[in-house]
Amino acid sequence: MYNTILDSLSNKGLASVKGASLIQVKGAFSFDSLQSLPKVRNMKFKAFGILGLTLALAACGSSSDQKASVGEGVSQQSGPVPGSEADLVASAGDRIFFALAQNKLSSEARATLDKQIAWLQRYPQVNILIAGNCDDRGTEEYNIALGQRRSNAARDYLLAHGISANRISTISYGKDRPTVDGDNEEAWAQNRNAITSVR
Amino acid sequence: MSFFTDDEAESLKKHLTRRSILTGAGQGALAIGGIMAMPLSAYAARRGAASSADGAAEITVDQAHQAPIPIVIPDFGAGMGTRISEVISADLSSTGLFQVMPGQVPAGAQPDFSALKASGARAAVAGSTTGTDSVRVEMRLWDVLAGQQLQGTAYTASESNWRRVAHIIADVIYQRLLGEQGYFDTRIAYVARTGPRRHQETRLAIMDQDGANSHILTSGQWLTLEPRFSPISQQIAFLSYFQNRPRVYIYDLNSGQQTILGTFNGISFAPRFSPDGSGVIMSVTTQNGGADIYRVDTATQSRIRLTNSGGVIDTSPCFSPDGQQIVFNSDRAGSPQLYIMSATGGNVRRISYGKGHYGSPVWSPRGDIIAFTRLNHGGFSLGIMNPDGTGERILTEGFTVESPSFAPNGRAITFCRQTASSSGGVGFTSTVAVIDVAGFNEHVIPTSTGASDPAWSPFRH
Repeated sequence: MYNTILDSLSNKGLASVKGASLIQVKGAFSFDSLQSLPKVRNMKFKAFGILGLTLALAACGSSSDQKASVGEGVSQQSGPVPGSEADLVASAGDRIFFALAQNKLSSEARATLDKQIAWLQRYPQVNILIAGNCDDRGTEEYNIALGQRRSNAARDYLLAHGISANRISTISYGKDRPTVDGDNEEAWAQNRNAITSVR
Repeated sequence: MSFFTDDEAESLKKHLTRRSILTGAGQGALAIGGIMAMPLSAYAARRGAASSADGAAEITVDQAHQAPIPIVIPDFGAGMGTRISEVISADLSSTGLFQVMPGQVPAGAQPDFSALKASGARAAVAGSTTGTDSVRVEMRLWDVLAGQQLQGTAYTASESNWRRVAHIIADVIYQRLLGEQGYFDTRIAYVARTGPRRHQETRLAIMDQDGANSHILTSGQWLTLEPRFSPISQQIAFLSYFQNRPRVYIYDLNSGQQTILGTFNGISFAPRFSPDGSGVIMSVTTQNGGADIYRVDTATQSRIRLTNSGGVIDTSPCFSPDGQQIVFNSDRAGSPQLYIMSATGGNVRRISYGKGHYGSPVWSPRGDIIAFTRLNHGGFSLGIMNPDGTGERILTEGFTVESPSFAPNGRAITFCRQTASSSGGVGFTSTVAVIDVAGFNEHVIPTSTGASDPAWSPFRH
């Protein structure tokens, strides 16, 4: 397994780690250890997809334990760094869910986005990426467009509430980066989402 | 034996693809991809009969589906000869159109037709393999009932090309007995998948149509999907999430270079070459939650928008083989369905009216049918229909069966078959399979990793 650390400006790989050791978070989730990598401090990083970063976020989002760090600069003991990804998850929630084949925002989705708006207003320097995802009950191609439709729906709501367009990027992974494992109604419902992350 | 220029080889190739018989010393040699093919003389006693046996392929593919052709494929000799026989047998058996029988057929003399007939054989192959670095493989195909030689050819190739020689021989047998070009000397581009279900590493890959000689082409750093072969060049269009900007790229098989195709603000995806290879049609997401279909010229990068659908999703476009029409997937009527429009856009009409959702349509290279994916009650089906929407038939079903791609002769479809995952992603598998268009015969192509998104190459010779 490889994790590539990317410079957020050039998007060029800065470090590639083979066989990064797995650490356990509360015994329920595991993610590739990023803490031991050099140069992580003061550097925005992205681990493509859910490898590493998103797995760690899933752990954060699914449990009340906000101590799990996603990189150096966040200690295991303190709360999330203000304006960080973990802070977004803790303060607002990073994901909204959609009904089958839909991109309509539910009242719950709007409530989460309202909190994201407040959070984004608190940290005006932070830029975000909204990733749309689908369950695997559609074709690969159609679902790429459907996932983009979902990330657009979230983006449009943020834009309509005063968040600047140049702070928001969108992407769709279609059905190729499921948020949770499993093929049942419950898993599919969780995989129909738009997930906001700090860029 | 003499070598020919490409043009000469090309014209000889056309000669080969007719149903004429290549016998007698008057015929020249033919070079295909480093493989020399030279006609073998028929045996004297049968020379006259053999040279008048044109049109020997009286069995149609439809008939062979009902009654597979019994054919004796003997060992082509020890070692490599055995392996060549195995590849030929596997190719022919995989179609469901042949019943391969073991047996002895002399390589240096006429076979005992009455004994072969008594064994139930309709056709028989004789073969021999000699040489080491440069291998010479001789094959003769006999019509057992008519007592005639249908084909006699000697192939010379480097040892590393032995599988290709076997596939070319299987193609010759297919063509001589069924009257249609075989698809064994072809390749399949696909996406190799490794790692956990939630974050599969995906790499562009290519293999022979039987799964041999697989090569990984890209690094796996970026999500990679939807490869499609150019009909005219050693190029593959595909979707790469390079630098987290999903766009259509061209991969050049000769240079290994990847080049972006077109400049779009939205995600460009679902590429498909035009039949003449001059352009690629693709889907591009819009700011208002939809996706439009564009045509991008491969030489100039100039683009033309073919649909302008205002928030609906138009995707998965595929040309008809004459280049006049495009079949595509759209949710303009509320759910994903199949539509056809003219190649320049416009004149849109819906063709899918069965239950459920439809997607990923592909037009047969024969022009006669369109293959598609259908979703109903959470399950996938793979089917075909006539271009006017009539005659829908489901060929196979599964948890996920999608991404159909036709063999270049239109007689078989490769597709992706995936199984459901449970907690932890356990149970998830992703394989590439092949089914004939009659739906009789399905088999999985063995791959060393997970595999999806198969795209069948054009004919190579």
